[in-house]
Amino acid sequence: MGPLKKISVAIKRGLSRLLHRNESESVKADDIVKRSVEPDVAAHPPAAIEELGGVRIEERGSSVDEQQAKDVPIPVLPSRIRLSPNLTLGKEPCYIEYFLTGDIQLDQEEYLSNTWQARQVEKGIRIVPKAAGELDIPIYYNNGACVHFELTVNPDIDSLWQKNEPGPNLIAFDQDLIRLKTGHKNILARDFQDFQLIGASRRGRSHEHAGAFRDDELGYWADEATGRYAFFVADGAGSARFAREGARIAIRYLEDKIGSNVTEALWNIADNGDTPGGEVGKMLVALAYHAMCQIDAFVKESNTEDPNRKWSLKDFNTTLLIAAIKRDEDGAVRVVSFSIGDGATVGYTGDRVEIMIAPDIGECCGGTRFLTMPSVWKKASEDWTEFYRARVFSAHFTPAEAKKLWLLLMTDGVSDPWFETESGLANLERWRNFVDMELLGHGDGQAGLDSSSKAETNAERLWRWLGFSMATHYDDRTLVAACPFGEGAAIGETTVRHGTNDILTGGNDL
Amino acid sequence: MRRLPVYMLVDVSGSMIGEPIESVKSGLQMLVSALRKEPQAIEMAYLSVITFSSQAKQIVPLTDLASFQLPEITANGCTELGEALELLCTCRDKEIVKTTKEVKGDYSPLVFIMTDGIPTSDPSEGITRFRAKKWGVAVSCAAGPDADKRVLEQITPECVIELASTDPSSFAAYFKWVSASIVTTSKGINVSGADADGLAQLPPPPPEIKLV
Repeated sequence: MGPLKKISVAIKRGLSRLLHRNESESVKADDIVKRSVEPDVAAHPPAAIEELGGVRIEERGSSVDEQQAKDVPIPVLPSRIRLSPNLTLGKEPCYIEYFLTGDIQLDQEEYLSNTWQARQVEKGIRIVPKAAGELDIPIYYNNGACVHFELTVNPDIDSLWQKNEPGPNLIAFDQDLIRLKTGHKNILARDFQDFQLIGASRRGRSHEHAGAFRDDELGYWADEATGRYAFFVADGAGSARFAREGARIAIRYLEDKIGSNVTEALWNIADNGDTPGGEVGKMLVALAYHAMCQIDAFVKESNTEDPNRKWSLKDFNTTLLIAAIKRDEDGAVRVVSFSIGDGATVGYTGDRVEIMIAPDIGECCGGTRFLTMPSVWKKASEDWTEFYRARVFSAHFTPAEAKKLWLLLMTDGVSDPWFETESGLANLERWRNFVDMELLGHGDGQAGLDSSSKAETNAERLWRWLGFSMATHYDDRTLVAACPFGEGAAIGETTVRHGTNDILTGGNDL
Repeated sequence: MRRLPVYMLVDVSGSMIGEPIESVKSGLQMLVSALRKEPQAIEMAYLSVITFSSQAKQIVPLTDLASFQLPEITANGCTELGEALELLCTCRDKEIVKTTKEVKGDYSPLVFIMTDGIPTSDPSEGITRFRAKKWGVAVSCAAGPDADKRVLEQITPECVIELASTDPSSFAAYFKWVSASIVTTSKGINVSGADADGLAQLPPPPPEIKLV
């Protein structure tokens, strides 16, 4: 058994073995080696942090007696030794061991301080940090030498991320009207005969840490009797002061108007080959345009009310994704989508990924277009065909496919971490992982959506899952999903929820 | 994972011997410690240090903040700024991940250049190569009255700052400002999703630092 295996086996056998190491398991002193030990933490919860894995450094040195025997001058230990690698609290490795081969020993068994502890192990020293920072650790050896060990310890990053409420400066700046409408959490939940609708929207780490608002919004409309549905998702621009209100106004308007405008008759007009989406597609464009006008009207009205405001349409910049759905009597499903901005609208059946968006990402990162950009609508007048082609998509699912169909709308706070790029979005394997593992899996950090649970329960699970931690992905997260849970779902139960928790009471942030 | 790469170019020529180089060393250490307190910087910022005197050397390759260790720095020799810029471009080509269809690459790198003197040989080639590339933020710092501001204006015309002297407090102020700039940029990127676009977003410099 190599030395590394010996150590990890020792740890697996139990913590007490580490404390009473016997000769046969000690590392051969001749080896000059740097190692990291990865113990099976789940099986053996540590009694002390030092019992987890560490880093071991061995250097050739010699003892006083050896030197005297060889009649060689006693070597001077370096006064400062920089230890490598840096450690991070809360992460393996969590200690460093430093060995001098030969008989040099520490002058005492154990050293304690507020920020670190050190003790003799075999013929070396084990240093365990207890606090973050640049540690200077003075250790005395029995040959009279004092060595300052320098060790950089990084803080546990989870301890640095804060969850803050918007401060008085943000709230006073706003109008009460706007403040009260926005909460940190929003949820959709509805059980239909043939599928289950769930949706959740929450702040990302960036807004939580900064004490800012949730800028995403979601919504839906349904008429089960005629098989007509619509889902909406909007992502308010981070740089726009009232982006969340722009997102909210657009979606509430669409929820109100879509039913009477995207009628059965409209769905019945067959697509002509050139314009996928046909009349329904054109109606979605019109509705989006009017949603923009609604925001504009609100801006003008607010400025009239108080001329000091000087608000502009830009302050309400938001993206917009719409999916209109028609379920035919035979069980086939037609979907027409519209989008301005980034994010993703996708139909996934297990065998097929239908991407229903061409995200506006401009030439290099960050060229997102918004619903509220006059230039976008100007383009619609100048080159309607190009505008339509880039923004309206249409898909058809057979009755068999419809039974397995996941229809998802998400903001880039979800599509970026899980799919990264357009080609990632088209990747079937990624989708299998996303749906089968992340959404349906019951492992740590997975959503655990269950076809036998009610929509409200699954929506709460989705909301919890949307709090996933991924380095550098701090955007607000919103996902609306029509899940193929029809047969298992509690039929006849319809729970509708638009939860908007007042931020003053702290909301239901988990 | 999209990283925010930061390159520090540091003059370690003979004129920096003594207090100035000690200030730079502690300034860099302080920069790293300050960044380590910001979770967004810890997760996104990757730091590299290129020193230049008679030769340019990348003494620390692009490294995440948690692993970063500053090696010994000694001052000696002349001031090959042009070579430093060439080396910077070479390192950038090697280390920066580009955005492709498959993967979202790194954000445009930030560059902070500092010199206390005049370039020994003609830096034009290095400057041309440097200007041909896209940088998120590029700042030059003239450390003390002997630094050649005109050359720096050719390298980073949008932002040249000047330290009135090479005393420790001036260096400390400079590194503190660099650290704040990096943090502000990383937060700004998270808000807008876009590259740092020049200097409008940076915090205002402290009194010890003058904008040229």
